[in-house]
Amino acid sequence: MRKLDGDIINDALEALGATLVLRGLSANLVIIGGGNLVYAGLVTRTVTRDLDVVGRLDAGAVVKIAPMPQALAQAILDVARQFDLAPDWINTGPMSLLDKGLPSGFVGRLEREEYAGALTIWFAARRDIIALKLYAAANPNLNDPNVGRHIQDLRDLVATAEELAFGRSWMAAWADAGLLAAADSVIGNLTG
Amino acid sequence: MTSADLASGLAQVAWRQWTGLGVTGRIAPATTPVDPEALIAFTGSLGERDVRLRDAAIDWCVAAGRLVNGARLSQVTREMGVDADEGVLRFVATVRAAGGPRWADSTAAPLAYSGRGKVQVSSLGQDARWLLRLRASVGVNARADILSCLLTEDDPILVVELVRRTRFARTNVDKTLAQLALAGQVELLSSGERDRKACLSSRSAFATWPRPSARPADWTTLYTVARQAMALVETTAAFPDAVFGIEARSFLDRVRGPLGAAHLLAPSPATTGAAFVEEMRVWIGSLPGLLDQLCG
Repeated sequence: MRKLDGDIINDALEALGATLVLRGLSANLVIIGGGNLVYAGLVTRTVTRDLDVVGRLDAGAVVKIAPMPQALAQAILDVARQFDLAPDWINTGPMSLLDKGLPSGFVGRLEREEYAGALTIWFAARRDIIALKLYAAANPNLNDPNVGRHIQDLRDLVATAEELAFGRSWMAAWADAGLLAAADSVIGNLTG
Repeated sequence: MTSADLASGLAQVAWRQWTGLGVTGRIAPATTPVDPEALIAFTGSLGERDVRLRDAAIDWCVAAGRLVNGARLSQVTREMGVDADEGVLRFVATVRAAGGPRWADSTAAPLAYSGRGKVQVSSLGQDARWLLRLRASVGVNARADILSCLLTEDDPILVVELVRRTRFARTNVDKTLAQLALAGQVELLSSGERDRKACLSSRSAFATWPRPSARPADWTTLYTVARQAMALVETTAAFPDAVFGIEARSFLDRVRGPLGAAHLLAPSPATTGAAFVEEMRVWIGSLPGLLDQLCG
C-alpha cells in the first residue's frame, strides 16, 4: 500500500474529482494536518498516510460531515483501490476538533484548490496548521505514536514565537491547565 | 479501443447469431445455441449503431418472433438493464407495428422500417436454433427452456440453478418441473427445498433428442457484461486513464460473479494503477473475440 507524497496527493485528488464528475457528484472538504504540509512541501518528511478532513465549508463555516455521504465514501474507496492507497486515505478522524472550535479566522485563511470542477479542497493555512500541530504535540495521550512527528513538523515549519502564541491562545479557550502546560513545554522546547 | 470499435465488434457477434437464426448475411452463422430474448434485447440496445443489423433482426422477429417468449424477454431486458432503453422499446414497438408478435405494451414510437421480407425460417435443425426447436415442439413457455438445460447437462441440476439459467420465476419452474415429473419426463431429487435437483428421466421421450454440440452459453449474462463494457468505455472516454481504471474496477465488481458463471476470466483486482488500466483495456478489446468464439 502506497503512502501519499505530493504528486500522489495531486493525482489522487484529480482522479477523485474526475470520478465525482463522471458520477454526477460534487464535494468540498476542509483538510488539516500533515497532508497539507506534505502537499505544500513545507516539511522534511515527504509522505503522509492520509488526508485529515475536519469538515466541509458551508455558508462560510466549517461544519461536520457526519456521516460521510455513501457515494463520496465509495468514490474515495474506489480511488484508493486504483492508486493502491489506504482505504481511509481521506478520513474524518479529526472532525471532533469542531467541538472545541477552530482557531479564530480559520475560514478566512483557507486556501482553495479545485479538482476537475467537482471537488473543492480547502487547505488549512500555515498559521492554523501550526496551532493544530501544537495541540497535537501537547496531547497528553502518551500512546499517540505521532507526537514526535508533530514536534518535528513544527521544527520543519520553523514556527515563530508569534505563531506558537496564536496556537496557545486558541487552546487557552478550551484546554485544561495540564494541556496548556504541555503546550507551554512544547513551545519552550521549540523556542528555547 | 473506442466505444465505436467495441460496439462494432459486438454487433458482429450479434450478426453471427442472427444469421444462425435464419437472417440472410455474409457472415459465418453461429453454430452454438442462441438465446433469442438476450439477442433481441442486446440488438435493440445497440440502437442506431448498426441500423442494418437492427432492420434484419426486426425482419426475423416479424417472421419468426412467435417463438420468442414475451414474458422472458421482459425479464431478460430487466436483468440487462435495458427495459427502459429507448432502442429496445422502439424495436419491440416496430416488430408489433410490422405485424409481428405483441410482446409488451409500449407507448414507444415504431422506428422507420420497411420489411425486406427476406427471412424464411424453414428449418429449426441447426444448433443455433436449438431453443427455438424445443419451443416449437413443446410450446413457448418455461417447459422448453427447462428441457434445454436438462438435455444439455449430464448431471442433475439444482432447481435454483434452473431458475437462474432460464430466467423464469421459481414458482413457474417448480410447477413446470412437477408436471414434467408427473409425465415421467423428469426426475426430482429431493434433499431439502434449497438443494432440490432435477434431471431428465431415463425413460423420457426426450432422452433420444439430438443435443447441440455445445452447451448453451449464458447469453443474458454475456450481453449484460458486453453492454456494461460498452458503457464503461463510452462514459470514461473523455476522462484520464485513472478514472477509467476506477470505473473499470467498479465494473469488474459488478460482473465478476456473472463472468465466473460464464467461465470467462477477467483481470485480477490485485493489479493497480497503470498496469490495471492496461490490462482492462486489453481485456475489453478482446471481449468481442471471446464472445465470437462462443458462437462456434
